[in-house]
Amino acid sequence: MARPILEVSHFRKSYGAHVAVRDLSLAVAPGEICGFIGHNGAGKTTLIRSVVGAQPPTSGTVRVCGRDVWREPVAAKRLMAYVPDNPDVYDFLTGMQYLDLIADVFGVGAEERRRRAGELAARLELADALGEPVSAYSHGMRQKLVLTGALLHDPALLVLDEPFVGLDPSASHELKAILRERADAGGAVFFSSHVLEVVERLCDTVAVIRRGELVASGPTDEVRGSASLEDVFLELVDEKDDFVVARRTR
Amino acid sequence: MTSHSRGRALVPLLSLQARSLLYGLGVRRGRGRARLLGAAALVVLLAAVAVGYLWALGSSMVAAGAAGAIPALAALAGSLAAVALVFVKAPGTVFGCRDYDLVAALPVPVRTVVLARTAPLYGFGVALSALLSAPLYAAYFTSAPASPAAVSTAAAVSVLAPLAPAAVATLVSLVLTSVAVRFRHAGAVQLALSALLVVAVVAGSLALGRASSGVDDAAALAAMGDVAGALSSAVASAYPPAAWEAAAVREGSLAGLLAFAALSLALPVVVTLALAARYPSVNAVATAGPRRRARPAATSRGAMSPLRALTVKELRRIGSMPFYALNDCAGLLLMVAAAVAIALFGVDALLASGVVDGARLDAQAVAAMRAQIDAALPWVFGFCGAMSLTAGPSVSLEARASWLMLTAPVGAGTVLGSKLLANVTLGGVAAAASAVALLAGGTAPLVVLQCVVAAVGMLTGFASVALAIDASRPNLSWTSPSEVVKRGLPVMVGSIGGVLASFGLALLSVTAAGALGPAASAVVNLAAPAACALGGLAFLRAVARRGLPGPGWGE
Repeated sequence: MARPILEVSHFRKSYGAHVAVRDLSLAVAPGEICGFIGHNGAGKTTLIRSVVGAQPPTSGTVRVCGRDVWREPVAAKRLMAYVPDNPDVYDFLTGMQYLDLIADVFGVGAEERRRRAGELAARLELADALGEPVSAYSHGMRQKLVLTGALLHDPALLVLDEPFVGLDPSASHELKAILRERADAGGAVFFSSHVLEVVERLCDTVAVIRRGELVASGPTDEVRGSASLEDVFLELVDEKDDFVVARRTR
Repeated sequence: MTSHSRGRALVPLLSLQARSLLYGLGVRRGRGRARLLGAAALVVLLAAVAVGYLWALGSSMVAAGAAGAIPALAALAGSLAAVALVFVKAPGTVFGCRDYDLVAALPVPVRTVVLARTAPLYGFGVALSALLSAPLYAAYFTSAPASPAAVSTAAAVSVLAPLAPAAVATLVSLVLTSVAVRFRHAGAVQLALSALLVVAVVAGSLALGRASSGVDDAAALAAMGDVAGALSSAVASAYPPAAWEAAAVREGSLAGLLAFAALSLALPVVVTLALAARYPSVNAVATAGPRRRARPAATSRGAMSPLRALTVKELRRIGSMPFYALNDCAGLLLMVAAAVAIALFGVDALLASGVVDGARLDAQAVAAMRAQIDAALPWVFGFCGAMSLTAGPSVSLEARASWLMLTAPVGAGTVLGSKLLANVTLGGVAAAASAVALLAGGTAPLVVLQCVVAAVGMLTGFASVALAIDASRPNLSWTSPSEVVKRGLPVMVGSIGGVLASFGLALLSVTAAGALGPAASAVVNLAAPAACALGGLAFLRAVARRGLPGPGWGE
């Protein structure tokens, strides 16, 4: 089996006395798209922010292509890209200025960035807006811009937090195609989502988190069994939650 | 909806404004009480200084026989303060508000919504006017009969005076905002207009300084009285209500008072109703983006190093935020203005002219203090450099976009270095322009070198300190940039520390010049800023080595 692109081992994150994520381990191999699902406040964004180097874990390790994100941050970050749930970028730049900034920071050459930015912006129908200031962009356009920037340096690992929120149907369709292409090319994709139908159709593996604990993970077909992912998710999430069970059976 | 229910809706909306103000001051769920007390203490201190200054001014005018001009001056002072406040705060408070959609969707009459926005603004204007007018009238009544009617009239006009100008300022501010937002670089347009205003004020005060030079203090005050009297007449002819107000205070004219009160109350009401009647359109024009034109397809520029790309980004941010640029680059503008003034008139002539506050030396005294003057001159530039800290709030200004900085494959040293480099670049350009002006004006090259070293050294040192503090404990959840640009701890510590250090080192240099000669002061002027820069850089490096995010990043 190929060495995983993303390896999270015994990850724990606490804020004072509150433990947000406890002893979580998972891996995403090359060619895999992994869906990360859980209810609101389960700890998805906490883990994702630590994976991309935005927030240190309390204990445990995160490795990307064997590089420890918190010991070799620059080398690890060079191998991945992040699309946050809220695509807040610098309002004072135009779309192209933003892409140039990202390309410079990730060391993408002039010719390569021109080609890739052109291709990606055309696919996401953003090309005509790249000369406009980001302040004039809608949420969906910002999402497309951040996504374009994330793919400029051809990352081995793409990490996305709720990437389908705010995208129009055609951009959403295009994003799914892009994610599949990246996996087929040997990259890895790790994303969180509440849209279980998309996760079920798109992802090779899924990981389910509940109150900071991983309650299921593995190939999508195995986790789902003969039921739908939605049914399995509700069962897993409700299993230890009497209040929710009582509410669902009312 | 009944007036009772309208009133019930007004109270929570006003309470929302008050909560927004407290949140803006950094008060969060019981935390920030010390900050609130600190802000209150600062307000009291500033108020005391303003009251003391205006009392002294009023007393001087009475002594110079210009008491008759005080009522006009009081009205003018209060009105100008209110107008300035409204100009700055109306965009974002009355129109162009972030929460427009939310309040527009509330089941509350639009009139109530607008009233909840204008009333606190005008209320602050009234309070400011009362505060500024009180000491002037107190001085006025030492020479005029203080009958109960006259005092009551003065109190009433102090409260009423700013209302009509503030209402007009609201409309003018709306017009200017709606014009500025039409430009692609709206921030730069506002910056240019603000810079023009600053230049006009500086030129005006210089002209007044030159006009009053060579006369004694009593004559200068009498001239000021004449100016105020002439101003009073001019204001009265251009703005008849000022004549009604003056007649009410000086002659006890009831008709004048009633007319002034009617206008002062009617105009804000009319403006509030007019804004309410067209509120959606008003917000649309105040938030409209630049007119869309067909642009050629955007093309990528050539590649840059990460440090250079991040530095360019920082410079773009400064250029796009006039409020930020004006607060943190004012010292650089002053630096160039000082160098140009020295080049045009010479230090000696400036010191002899009385333009420099507190210093009016004759030619003999200037010649006798040549060594001390040369020793102190570089610290004018050191002072200007030390108060120009764009790097101070720059980590906090990343705010919700901080994820970009945190996930970029560059070290904390590069991220923080780019912010410092942008600051030093601006300071370097200003110092270079100043050096060229000084050399062209005939200042000795060694003194020019000291000026440049003082400016760049103090800026580098204190910008590094401020940046290190901001990187250690950034405020990424501000609601208004003024929270970090004006009231942030890094900027306060950096700029106040820099200014105090400049004064201290200037004193040391002057003392060294007097005791040991010009060579000793030159050593101080070259070594102290360099040491300051190195110390600041060492502090910043220590913070950068810990990496980002570090302790204190909101966890």
